[in-house]
Amino acid sequence: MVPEKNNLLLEVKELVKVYGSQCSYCLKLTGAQAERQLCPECGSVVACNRISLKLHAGEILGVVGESGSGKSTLVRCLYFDEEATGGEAYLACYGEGKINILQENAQRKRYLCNYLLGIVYQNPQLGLNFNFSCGGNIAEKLLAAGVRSVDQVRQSAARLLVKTEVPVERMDELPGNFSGGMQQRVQIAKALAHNPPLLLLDEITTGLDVSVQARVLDLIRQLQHQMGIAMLVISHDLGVIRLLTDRTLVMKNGQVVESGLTDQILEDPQHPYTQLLVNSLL
Amino acid sequence: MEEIIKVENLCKIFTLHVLRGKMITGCKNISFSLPRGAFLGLLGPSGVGKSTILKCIYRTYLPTSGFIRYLSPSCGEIDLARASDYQVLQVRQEMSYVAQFLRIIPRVPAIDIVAERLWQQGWAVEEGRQQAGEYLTRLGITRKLWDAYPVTFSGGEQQRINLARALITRPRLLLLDEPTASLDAENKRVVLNLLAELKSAGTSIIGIFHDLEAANQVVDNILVLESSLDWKK
Ligand SMILES: Nc1ncnc2c1ncn2[C@@H]1O[C@H](COP(=O)(O)OP(=O)(O)OP(=O)(O)O)[C@@H](O)[C@H]1O
Ligand SMILES: [Mg+2]
Ligand SMILES: [Zn+2]
Repeated sequence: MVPEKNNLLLEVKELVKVYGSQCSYCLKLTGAQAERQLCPECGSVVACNRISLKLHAGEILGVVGESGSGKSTLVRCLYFDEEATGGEAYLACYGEGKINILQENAQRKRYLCNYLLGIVYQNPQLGLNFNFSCGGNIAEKLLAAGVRSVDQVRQSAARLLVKTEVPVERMDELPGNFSGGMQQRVQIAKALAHNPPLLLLDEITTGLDVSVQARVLDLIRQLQHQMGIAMLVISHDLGVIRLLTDRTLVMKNGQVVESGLTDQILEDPQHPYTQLLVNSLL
Repeated sequence: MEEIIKVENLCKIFTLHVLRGKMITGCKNISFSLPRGAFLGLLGPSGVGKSTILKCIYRTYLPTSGFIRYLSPSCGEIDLARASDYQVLQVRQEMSYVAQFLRIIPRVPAIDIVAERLWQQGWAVEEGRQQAGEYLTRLGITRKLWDAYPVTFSGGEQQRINLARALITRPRLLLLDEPTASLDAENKRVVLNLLAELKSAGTSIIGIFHDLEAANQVVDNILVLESSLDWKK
C-alpha cells in the first residue's frame, strides 16, 4: 500500500472564514446544500465553510468553482492576508508539521511568508509595489528572506527575471510600464525569489489575452518541471486546471463538493454542480 | 499463471444530473482476468462499453460497483475501483493509456510530448529526447515534424504521437483504445510489431479493436462484448 501520509506538505482542516458578526447558525445554514453563503440569521457571509485539503510535495492541486465560492478567500487565509475564523493548517516544513500556522503570531506569520510561502495574485497591483522597479520588487523579497549582499540581490533578481522570461534590461523600470502578461511574470519571479516549497496561484491568467495566458501557463508548467514546487492553483477555468493539475477540488458556496483526479473530475464528474460546470465548458 | 489484473462484476452507470438524473449504462457485469504478459483484445459493437471498461481501469471513470484487482510491484494488490487518488496516481506510473480520441498538450513540440514521460521518470533532457526520436522514427514520424505542435497533425500522425508517448516508458500494463483506427496498412503493421515487441518484453496489454484481423495478429485472447451487455469468450 502507498503510505497516504508520504511526503505530505500542507494539510488544511476545516478552515472557516466568516465575514460579519457571525452567529451559531452560520455554518449550518450556509453551504452547497443550502445553496447560499449568506447566513439568514445574522447576515454574515460564510466565504469558507470547513474546507479541508491535502497537498503533497511537488504536487499541483487545482481548485475550481464559480466566482464567490470562496477560492480566493481560502488562499488569502493561507497566506494570512485574511485572518481565518477557524480551522487548522499544517506545513510539513514548519515546526515538524505540528503547529497550526493559522494560529501563529504576526511575527511567525511574516516568517512563513518570507521563507516558506509564495503567492501570485490575479491582480498584479496586489502582488507588486508599483512604486518600486521590477528588480526592486524582487530585491525586497530577497532582502526579507535574509539575502544581504547587494551584488547577490541584483544577480538573483536578474536570474529570476531570465527564468520568468522578462527582459533583464528592463529590470529597473516600474511595473506600470509593462503589459499585463509581463506584470504577471514579474509577480511570479517575486513569488519564487525565496525558493518557497509552496506556491499559491490565484487566477493568475484571468483577464489576460488568450495568447498571453498561454505563455504564462507554459511558464508555470516549466517551473514545475524544473523546480518541482508544490502549487495550489485556483481557477474558474477548467482548461487551466486540465493543463496544470493532477488532482482537483471543486468548490461551491464555500464548501468542497467534490475532489478527485483531474481527468476523472472532467470526464466523469459526480456532483450536479461539477456536471454543470463541465457541461458549460464543452 | 499469475494475473496482473482481475475485473469482477464491473458496472459503470452514469447519473446525469443535468438531465434530471437520467441514468446511462456504460458497462454492466464485466468480468475477466489478464494473466501477466498476456494481450487481451476487446471487441464489440459501438456503444457497448469497451472504452468505459478501459477508463474504469485507468480510473478516469469512477466505477459504480464491482472490483478491479490490480497487482502492483509498488503497492501490492489494490482495488482500482476503490483506491485513493494518490494510490491511483502512483499506480499510473506503471501504466500507459492511449485514448480513443486525442488530447494533446498544447504548444509542446511533438518530440517533447513523447520525451516528457521519460523526464517524469527522472531521465536527463537530452537522453529523453533521443529516445523519443527513436520511437518517432520507428513510428514513421519524419524528423521535420519533431519540433512542430501536434495540434496541426493528421489523425494518423497524432495517433502515432500518442502511441509513442505510451510505449516509450515500457509500461507494465498498457491500455489501448483503438490504437490502429486511423492508420494506413503500413503504419498499422509497424504499430502491431511494436506491440508484439513490448509484449515479449513483458508488458501486459488490453486493447480495443474494431478490426478483427488486426486484433488476431497480436492478441492471445479475445473478449467479445455484446449489446445485451453480456459477454462470452
Ligand atoms: N462520460 C460519460 N457520461 C455519460 N455517458 C457515457 C460517458 N462515457 C460513456 N458513456 C455512455 O456509456 C456507453 C458505453 O460507451 P463507450 O464509449 O464505453 O462505448 P464503446 O464500446 O467504446 O463504443 P465505440 O466502439 O463507439 O468506441 C454509451 O452509451 C455512452 O454514451
Ligand atoms: Mg470506444
Ligand atoms: Zn449567522
